[in-house]
Amino acid sequence: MLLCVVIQGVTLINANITPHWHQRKMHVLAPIVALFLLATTAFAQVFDAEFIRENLPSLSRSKGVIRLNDQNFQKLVGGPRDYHFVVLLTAEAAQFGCHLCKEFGPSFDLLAASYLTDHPDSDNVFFGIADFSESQATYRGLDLTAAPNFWIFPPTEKNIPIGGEHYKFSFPQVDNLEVPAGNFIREVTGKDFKIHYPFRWDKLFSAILTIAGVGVGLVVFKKQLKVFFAKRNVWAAATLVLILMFVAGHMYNIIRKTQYIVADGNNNPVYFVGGFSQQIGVETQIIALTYALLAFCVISLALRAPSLNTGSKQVGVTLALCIVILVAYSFLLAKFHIKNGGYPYHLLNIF
Amino acid sequence: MQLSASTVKSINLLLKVSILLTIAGAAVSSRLFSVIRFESIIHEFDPWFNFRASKYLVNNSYYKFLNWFDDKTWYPLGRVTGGTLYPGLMVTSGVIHKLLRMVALPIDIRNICVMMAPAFSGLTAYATYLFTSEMKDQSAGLLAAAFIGIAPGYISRSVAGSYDNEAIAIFLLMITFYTWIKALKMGSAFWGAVCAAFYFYMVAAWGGYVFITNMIPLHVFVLILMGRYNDRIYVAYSTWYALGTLASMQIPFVGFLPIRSSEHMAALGVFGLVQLAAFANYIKSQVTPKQFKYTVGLSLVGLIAIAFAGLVGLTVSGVIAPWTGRFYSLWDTGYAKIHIPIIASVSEHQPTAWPAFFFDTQMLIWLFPAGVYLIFQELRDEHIFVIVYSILGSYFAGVMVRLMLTLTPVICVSAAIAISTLLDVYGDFSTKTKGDTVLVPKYQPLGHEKPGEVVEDDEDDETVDKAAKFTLGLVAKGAVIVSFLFYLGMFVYHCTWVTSNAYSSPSVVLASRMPDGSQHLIDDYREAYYWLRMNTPEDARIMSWWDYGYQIGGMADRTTLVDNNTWNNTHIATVGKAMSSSEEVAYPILRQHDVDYVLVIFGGHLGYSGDDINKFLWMVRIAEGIWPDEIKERNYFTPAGEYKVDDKASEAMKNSLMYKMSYYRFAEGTQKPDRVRNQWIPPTPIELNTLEEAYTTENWLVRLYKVKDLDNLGRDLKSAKSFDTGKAKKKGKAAYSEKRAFELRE
Repeated sequence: MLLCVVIQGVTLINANITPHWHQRKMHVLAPIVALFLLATTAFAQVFDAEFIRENLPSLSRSKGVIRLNDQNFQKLVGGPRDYHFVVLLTAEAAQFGCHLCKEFGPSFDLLAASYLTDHPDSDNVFFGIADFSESQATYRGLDLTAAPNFWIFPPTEKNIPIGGEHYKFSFPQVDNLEVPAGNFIREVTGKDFKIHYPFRWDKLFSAILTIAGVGVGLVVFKKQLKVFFAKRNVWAAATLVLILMFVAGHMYNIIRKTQYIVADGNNNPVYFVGGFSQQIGVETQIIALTYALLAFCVISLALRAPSLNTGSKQVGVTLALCIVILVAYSFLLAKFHIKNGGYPYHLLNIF
Repeated sequence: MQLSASTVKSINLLLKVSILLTIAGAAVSSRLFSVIRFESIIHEFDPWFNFRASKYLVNNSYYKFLNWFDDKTWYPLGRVTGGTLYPGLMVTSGVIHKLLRMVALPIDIRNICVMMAPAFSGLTAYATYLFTSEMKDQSAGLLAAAFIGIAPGYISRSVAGSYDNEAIAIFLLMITFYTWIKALKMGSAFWGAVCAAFYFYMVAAWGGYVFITNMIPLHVFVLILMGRYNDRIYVAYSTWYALGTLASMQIPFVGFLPIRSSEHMAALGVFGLVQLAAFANYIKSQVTPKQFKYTVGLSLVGLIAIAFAGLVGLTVSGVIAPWTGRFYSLWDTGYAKIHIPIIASVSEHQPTAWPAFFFDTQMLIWLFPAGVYLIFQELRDEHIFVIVYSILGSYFAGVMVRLMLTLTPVICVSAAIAISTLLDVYGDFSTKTKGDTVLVPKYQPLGHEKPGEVVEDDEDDETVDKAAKFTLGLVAKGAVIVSFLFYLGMFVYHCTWVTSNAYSSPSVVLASRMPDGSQHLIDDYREAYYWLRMNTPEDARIMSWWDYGYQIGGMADRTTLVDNNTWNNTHIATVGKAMSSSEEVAYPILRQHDVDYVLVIFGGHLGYSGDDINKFLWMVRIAEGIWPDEIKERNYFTPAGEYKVDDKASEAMKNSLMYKMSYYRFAEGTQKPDRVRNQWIPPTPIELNTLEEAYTTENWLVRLYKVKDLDNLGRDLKSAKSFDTGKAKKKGKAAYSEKRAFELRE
């Protein structure tokens, strides 16, 4: 009945998985809905802009956003109306696993609140959210198979069936969705407004706390810190960590937002994925550690081994380090073979 | 036999020179794969423009070159080419061309261009030798020269035929750094001026000069923070900055950027800081420490406040150029993706995964951190430079694949220092050993308080142990030397393999293997470009995606709408819009821009993945950036969010000009597989009303379409065509005319 797929790859509800649940609910609901609709049409209240404005607080779920359900959807959206109605048809409940719905919900609230700030008398634009859990009949009536849907119903004179003429917003693949959505509202309604981001007190607070904490720490541990940061090895370590992170592809992970680890068909973890310009988070760590081990061995060969005080110790340590380098380098080459299948060179074939 | 000191010295010199010459020879010859396999040909895309510009310079005067207005590109806008390029590369080849002519060696400019990069790689090896010698010693220098000579990270941009700015820029980078270190060490205004001169050359040659503009000030800044300020720094930096900045402003393309754009502000700021430090130093020598502390503290706060206010004021009032997009994309990695699709679309601007680092430097990548650690042991002023360089370089290389190029030199330098330290300790096979030990340390590790005193022992049982110790020492030394020689040998094989397999393809000519193993060359690009050259009027305008603009200009010598100099995003978006909309929408655009031919690259027949259908989404995205109402990326996906070209393809996709041109006549009668996307193209005939196929190359790689003229009777082209075909059928001559058409085509 409801097969919800969104371009961002959100698979929402697959009716085939839970057919009984929907059908049972429908059986119970359908007559009630029908009755209710009958009743309401009998004592029809004209839903014009005036009425909604007066009753906005009682209808709203948050500031300026009307909570839509099967009962009031037709009345508010069915027309005739003298206002634009901005509707978000969503499915925020956890069982649908719709990430985009959850992501966009707060943006929608923000847009509605921002609009209301700039147009306190609402200026004939209203915002409403219809969640699937409360408006399944509406979803069915609109023949909707995907969520979320962000529609704007323009003013109309006729009494139109559910759905009617409307503008659809297509969700682009960007992070801050409220910006394109705001542009869409501006375009369709012709009303200008700014997005008023709420002031983040929590961020300010945590920033003050952090600065104060660091400041106090600096004052209290001044001497120790001075000694600490005067140490050459501290700087050397910091430099090496940075270099190792970068050359093991850390920036790639950040920019591409790669997964940390993936599983194969049998649900076993995969540590190295194929493909020359592909990588996952755990690879960076393994490779950085391998590089670090190899570099450590070279440094030890250059500095530590010669300064040991007996010859036999020196020889033992040197040989051990050579073997570690051989093994670690073989490991590296073996892993590189996963990335580049045609690479012809091997060392030890033990990995 | 005892050799006199002077003999040793001259043997030393002879060896050094011959080793360096050998390295230069190896560097040049390892870059010749493509010339031997294919021919002496200019590669890829940008080099074709550089080549064209060089030809223009050689055929005209230098002043004409600087004032060159190119009306054959960016039709109908044209491009002020002379003022928007870095002339260093073309001037260099022009000068070489002239010099060779003077000594009666009339070599074709094309061959000079092709061989430019390998020749300069030899010089790069020498500059790296000089630089590394300043860091450690000459043996490390020779190793570094050998590494940079064959490291794939550098070869990738400097094979024969890769006639690009980077070809000479890496040499200039290293020589500028060397002269800077020299100036810093000696506090010499002369070396500072030499450094400025090379810096000027670098600015003239490559936009990446900004890397130097920020590296040197950063080095000085770190030195000042470490309390290492001295008069030598003052002399070196002031000379370099004053001369270098003035000189760099002489390049038309750079102009007043060095005093306006934020990328150059660090250099300016550090220049001011150095003056302050010098002044503070002077005050310090005149007053008591207490007074000094007070004065400095007060003036520092005041100055910082003034400087900050000034910077903000200038930025707000617009005197200082706003932060440019490229700059942002380096620091804020998400920026480019959202705001500048054209930057995000270039694969060179993609982040680097770890295999690329390993591929380009192999074992050097893990010697690199070891070398940096060893540099920390001494930490002289010039060593700070390498440390700063290695951190910055690896960050930038991680963010952008193409900046691997600027990281490679410092990897080679550090790795050479690591290997040469190992050789110092383990490569000494003479019998002298101290006390009980078999190895002599080069440095004491940090934290060992009394260097050198551990090993002093009494000479009691020396005679008994000597032979045994020698063997022991031999075992330890042998193990290290043999294993590292083996790794180095493997490194050489790796470099040769990578160069031969990955970096030596001209990308204009593609090589493939026949079933019997013999080589088969796919020369469709040139086939198409020469067809254009021979069969179209000289002023014909060709529309293609911007990637092929330079090649069309260079090989077909025809006018293009957009090319690889992506200066006008709107114009590119116009082409993107024409390609991604339906014929009805596209035709007016084509007419408005006087387009005569449209060129598309289609790899579906051959299995060539770099074709236009794979680049298509970028065309859509870039067009969407300008016309968000008309072009929507989402429309080109199936409802399930997949990118399909088979029968499931979305309507927008199927109707787009690009799709039609790519698959026109491709699956006639029976469905055919697209070998790139592994999808089956449905046999439904594709109808083209406003274009007609002009030429398709042997392997269908390049397809050319002629834009039809307006209909003589004023009908729109679709009804005209359906009228023509419909009439033929009505008269009952369908069979005849169809057969005829078929015969003609064959």
